[in-house]
Order: sequence, then C-alpha cells, then structure tokens
Amino acid sequence: MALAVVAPWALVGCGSGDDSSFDGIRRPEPLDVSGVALADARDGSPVPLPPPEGEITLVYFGYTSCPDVCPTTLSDLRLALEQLGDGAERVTTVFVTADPQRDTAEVMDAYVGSFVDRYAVVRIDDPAALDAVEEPFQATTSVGPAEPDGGYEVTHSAIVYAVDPAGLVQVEWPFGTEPDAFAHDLRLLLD
Amino acid sequence: MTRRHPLVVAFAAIALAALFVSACGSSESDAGSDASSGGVEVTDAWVRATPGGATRGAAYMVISSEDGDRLVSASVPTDVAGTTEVHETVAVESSDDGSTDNGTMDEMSSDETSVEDGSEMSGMGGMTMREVAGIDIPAGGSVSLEPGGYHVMLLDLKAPLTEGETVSITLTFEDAGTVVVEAPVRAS
Repeated sequence: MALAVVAPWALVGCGSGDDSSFDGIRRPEPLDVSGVALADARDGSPVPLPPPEGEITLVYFGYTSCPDVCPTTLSDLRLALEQLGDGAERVTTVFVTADPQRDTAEVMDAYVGSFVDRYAVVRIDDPAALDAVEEPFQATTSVGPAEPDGGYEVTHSAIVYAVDPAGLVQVEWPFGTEPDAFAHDLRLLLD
Repeated sequence: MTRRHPLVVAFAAIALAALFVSACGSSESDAGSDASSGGVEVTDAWVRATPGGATRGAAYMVISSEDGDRLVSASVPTDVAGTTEVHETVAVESSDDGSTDNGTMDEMSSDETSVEDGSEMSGMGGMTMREVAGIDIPAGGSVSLEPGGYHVMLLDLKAPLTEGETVSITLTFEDAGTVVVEAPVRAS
C-alpha cells in the first residue's frame, strides 16, 4: 500500500523542485486561490491575498471561542515567526472566522493580535459567501446546532495555508505542525 | 559588617533552600501543578494563557491511576470561569462533509508529513470538539490531556488568563474522589 502511494509522488517530484524538502504538505497541482478577494473586517481595507512580491500570506479558518485547536496553532505560528527574525516582516497572517455570529472585528483583532504582528481579520456573514471563499482552499467550516445553553460547536479545517504572490497555495500545514516545521518551510518559501 | 566568604553564603542558602523544599514535599493536593489523592496522580497541569478577547480557555494535564479510575467532572472557581467542562478535540473525516474531493490528499501516507504528535492528516477534513461524560484512566496507566485532544474547557471566562497566574482546578474521580491541582498559566 505504501509503495503504491509513494510512487506517484516520486514521479511528480522529479524535476518539480524539492517537494520532499518541505515539512508541510504540497500538492502536485497547487490550489489556485488567486480569485479570492478579502476585506479586513476592522476597516474594510483589502487583505494582502495574494501577497505582494517577495511575501507570503498565511490563511487560517478559525474562531475565537476555540479554546484548544486555534490557540495551539496560532501559538505555534507565533513561535515559528519568532524563529524567522526579519523574515517575519514578509509574512501576513489572515484569520477568517468560521463563526461570524460570535466573532466581531474587535474580538478577532485582539485575539489574532495576541499572537502575531502582521495580520488581517476577515468576517464573512453570509454562509454562501463564506463557502465560496473556502472552496478554492478545499477548506470547510460549519456551525453546529444550538445547544440548550445557547452555545454551539464549530467545525473547521484546522490547516494553515501558505499563499504566494501568484495566488497559489504552496504549502498546507495540518493541525499539530510544530513551530520548527513551520519556520523551516517558511524560510524555503521566502527565499 | 564582616564580609562572609561567598562559598559559606552559598552553602547557607542551599541548606536553607533544601530545608524549605523538603518541608514542602507533601503529596497532598496543595503541592502545586502536581497533585495526588486516592490512587490518582495528576502531573504537569497547565492552563493556556488566553489570547485577547477569548471567552474560553483550556487546561491540560496528565492523569495516572494505579487501580484505574474515571474522571467524571472538573471545576474551577466561578470567578475564573462560569462553566467548566471536559472536552475532546476530534478530527472529522473529510469524506463526511464531501468537501475534499482530491483523492490524492486522502491517500497520502504519513511519511509525507512530519507532524510530531502522530495525528498526521488531522485537520484535513475539519476539527471540532465535543463534551465527554468522563475520561477513563486505565489501571497502571495514564491519560494525557493535551492540545488537540482531551482538555478541561473553561467557558465564560470572567477575565483573561495571564501568564504567571495559577488556576485552581478541582477534578472529581469516580473512586478517588476530588483532587485539587494548582495549574500555572503559560503561553504555550
């Protein structure tokens, strides 16, 4: 089974430049998210997606009521960006809320701002519009049914997507990626 | 004042410290971030410092039991959090919501990623949490409540949890009864 899976990757890897040197996940055909245009929920300004030349934009679908997964991932990202030193100035983190009902621009600003310096927060109220943004990332978010106490659970793809200036997702890091792995891959992308 | 030889001062300090440490070395529930009672031992408890604006927090720890037991509830003072629950973060199968059609992603072997905690492809289809009625601790074994897995969830936080603080967590076990652990708040 392992052989059958690895072989096609090896074929694609030849000549396509170093897929195996990344810790995160790379696809033979990078996801094209160049059609996605987002506005920062704080002031309506355009989000750097795709990023300017020489920079990388990280996209993450999360929510601020998330006590475990989101803080863990953002904390790992923060540690990774610290490792980059000056390189962190060429990375923007875009947090798109999977929970527009509860997440306001102010809350997201404080939340994401606790972890990183260069970021944008996005809040898309309309479920169809949010789906349309998630689709090119092959990401998914959903909000569960309301519980008796008024709360509800949120499901979200806990992946960090690294987008290059061409609007292509160059790497995807699943939940649990260690800071060293993020930093390693970011250095490769920023070079 | 006469100048004391530095070594003498150092020895005195160490001796005093040793006295202090041994006097405090009890295994009762006020021993800091480790606690034990009735055959259950809780170690390495910590609470993640909350990001600005967060209304929920998470606490983690390792629970061991000689004879086996079951964690049935957890609580913290209500001036810290209005409600405390025990939760589990789970990965949702990508096929459940039909959003991931790219078959090659699902088939990728774990050798392709270097995710440390063995969760490989976790999060590819989505992650969510659910409250659990209890956590079984196997006899002679332990269960780790850690990021991405089980956690004690603090809801309706009354104030941000900041590094340097300590949260008193009361754990209730089926057999061992209650164990109180003082969990430090840490950034990571």
